Parts: sequence; structure tokens; C-alpha cells
Amino acid sequence: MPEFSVGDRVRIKETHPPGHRRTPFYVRGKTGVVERYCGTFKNPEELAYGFDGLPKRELYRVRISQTELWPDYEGPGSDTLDLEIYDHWLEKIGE
Amino acid sequence: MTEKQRQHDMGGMTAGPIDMHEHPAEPWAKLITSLRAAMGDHDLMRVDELRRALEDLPSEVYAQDYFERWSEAMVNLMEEKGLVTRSEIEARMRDIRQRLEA
Repeated sequence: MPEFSVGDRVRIKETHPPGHRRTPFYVRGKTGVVERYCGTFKNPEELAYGFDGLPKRELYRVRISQTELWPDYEGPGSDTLDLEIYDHWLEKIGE
Repeated sequence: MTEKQRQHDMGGMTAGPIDMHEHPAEPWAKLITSLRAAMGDHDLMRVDELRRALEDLPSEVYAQDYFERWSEAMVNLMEEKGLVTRSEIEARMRDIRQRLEA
């Protein structure tokens, strides 16, 4: 069973470990909503160093408000950005 | 860019003007692209490893042209994997240059 469900509010971890990471700097610490579950994939952060990338990680498409990402965003407040984030970068937040 | 932000991780930063002119690929850049594909096909290098090696380049090397960057990262990976050394590749480059100039 996937750890997160569509509609869950999640926070992307605000952490800055060294090495190859697949979560862009600008979304760390931001909150969004799970838009869909994308399946499981070998962990690219391990593949990048020659390891087998196992166990596979769950990948989620997370929808984030543009105004959450960019404090000076001038477009409509309804604008969003979708991006795919691995489960180990996500934490569920309460309603 | 802060010290926590790695050099490739540029989302949201001011990028400046973009050169939209078409430019043909140089033959050596095509060769580098072919080598990258061949190394992938032979399980010598994964795209994730290439990305990691690119991100790890010194900033003055990372600032170079796209395919210069690729070739530097590929040399570092080949050296890391014990397949070939940078000095072997540089010696071969000198040999080829001497032949071309002879």
C-alpha cells in the first residue's frame, strides 16, 4: 500500500544532505497536496553512486501553489506547479 | 545561491537572456553523445551517475560548454570505476594532435 493517498497534505522535507538529490532546492520545506501516485522506482539517489537502488521508492506527483513557492508571484492565486517527489522526501501534515 | 544549494539546482534563479539561435552540433559533441550512449548500453555508466558527476564538477569546469562538461564528468566516472585514467586519455589526445599537425 502506498504511504500517501491522493489529497493528502504533505510537506517536502527541508533538509540539505550532500550528494545527488532529486528534490529541487526551491521546494524544500514547502507544502502541497498529493495529486497522484506514480508507482515505485529504483532510488536514483543510490543509482547515482553505482548501487542497485533497492528497495524501490514510491514516487508521488505533488501539487504546490505558485504563491507558496514564490512570495513575489504575480500570477493568479490558483496557479500551481506539479512535480514528482520520492516518498523519503515527504512527510504528512494534519488537516 | 547559498552554500546549501548545489550548482546545478537553479530552479527559480534569474537566468538572464537565452540565445535562441539554432546552432549545428559539432562533430566532437556528437561523438561524446555516442560515447555516452555506448557506455550506457554496456552498463558502464548510468544517467544518474552522469548527473551526479556533472553536479560534482568544480565550478570553473561546470561553467564550460554543455559537452565540455559531459566529457569532463565522463572522464571522472571512468577514472572512478578504474576503466581508464585521465592521464591515459590526455596522452592519447596529445598523440592524435601530433598526428594531425604532422
